[in-house]
Amino acid sequence: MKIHHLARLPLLLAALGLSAQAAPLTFDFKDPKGVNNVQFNLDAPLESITGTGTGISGSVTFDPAQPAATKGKIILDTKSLTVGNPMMADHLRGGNWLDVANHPAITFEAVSLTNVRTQGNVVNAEVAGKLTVKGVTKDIKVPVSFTHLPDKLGARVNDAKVKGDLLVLRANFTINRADFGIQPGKNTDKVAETIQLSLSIAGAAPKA
Amino acid sequence: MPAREKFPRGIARGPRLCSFAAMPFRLKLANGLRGAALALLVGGMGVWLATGAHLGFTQTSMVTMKRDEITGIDYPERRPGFVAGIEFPLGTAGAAIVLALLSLAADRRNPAA
Repeated sequence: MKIHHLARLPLLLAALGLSAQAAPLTFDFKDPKGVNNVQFNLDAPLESITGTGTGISGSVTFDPAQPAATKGKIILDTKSLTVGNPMMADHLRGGNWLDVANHPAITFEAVSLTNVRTQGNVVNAEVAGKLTVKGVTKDIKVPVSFTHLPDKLGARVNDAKVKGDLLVLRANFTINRADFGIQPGKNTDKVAETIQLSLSIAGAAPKA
Repeated sequence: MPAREKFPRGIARGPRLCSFAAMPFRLKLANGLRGAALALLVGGMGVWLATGAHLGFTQTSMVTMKRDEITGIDYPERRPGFVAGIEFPLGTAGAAIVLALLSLAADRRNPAA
């Protein structure tokens, strides 16, 4: 009887290993290296404004075997948004524009994935979710690429003892500032209505 | 002696014939203002051209893109820097025009002119 159970042990361990491999991983997007970033561009007739934001946090649950089940929320600290001109940066954060004192975060919450295509360790999908800017929430669809980098966390933190995976998200999309109540229809000669956003972020899922 | 004879017009305006120290104050002021106007105009345009003739507003920080080797993410690294905006040559040109007009006013009041 005992021998019978022992014979099953490798199978059991293998099954456990497989289930652990297939389990969804939760990636934390708080980035101590300061690499995670969002870049924004507003191309108005009189001025092309380009800026960056680096205060990114949030988490995404991603299963390489079932990428369509991906869920998560990414948060951008609005105080981290900046442009090259200090006066313009003050205006950007001020009450007339992003009002960062009262709206400290821009959030995107993924609700569902459609049109999922997997190629190697890269998954491309249309992510439907809720984008909240300046207190206004809109349903949007964003094309996102997910790059799963297994066992790369140690290399990223320069410590081989640290085990874990990385997930890189990239997305390029546009929003209309009027949709979020940001000075709709005003100053369109200097501040474009359409905002081009480019998101490049990496999250880490440490393994115990 | 009348002012005109004391400081003849041709001599007063000819820098090679008359030293700066010998000029009356108003003429010195007019020439100084013209010189400052020219310096402002040339300097403003020169700084704007030297920092890349940027058509937007002045930037006090600059972004250089870098790549994270592990993730392949391109990220901006912002560092202090100065890029003169379009308001720089326009502002200095405006100031130069004001100085040039003041120099004309000073010159007109010059009894030797």
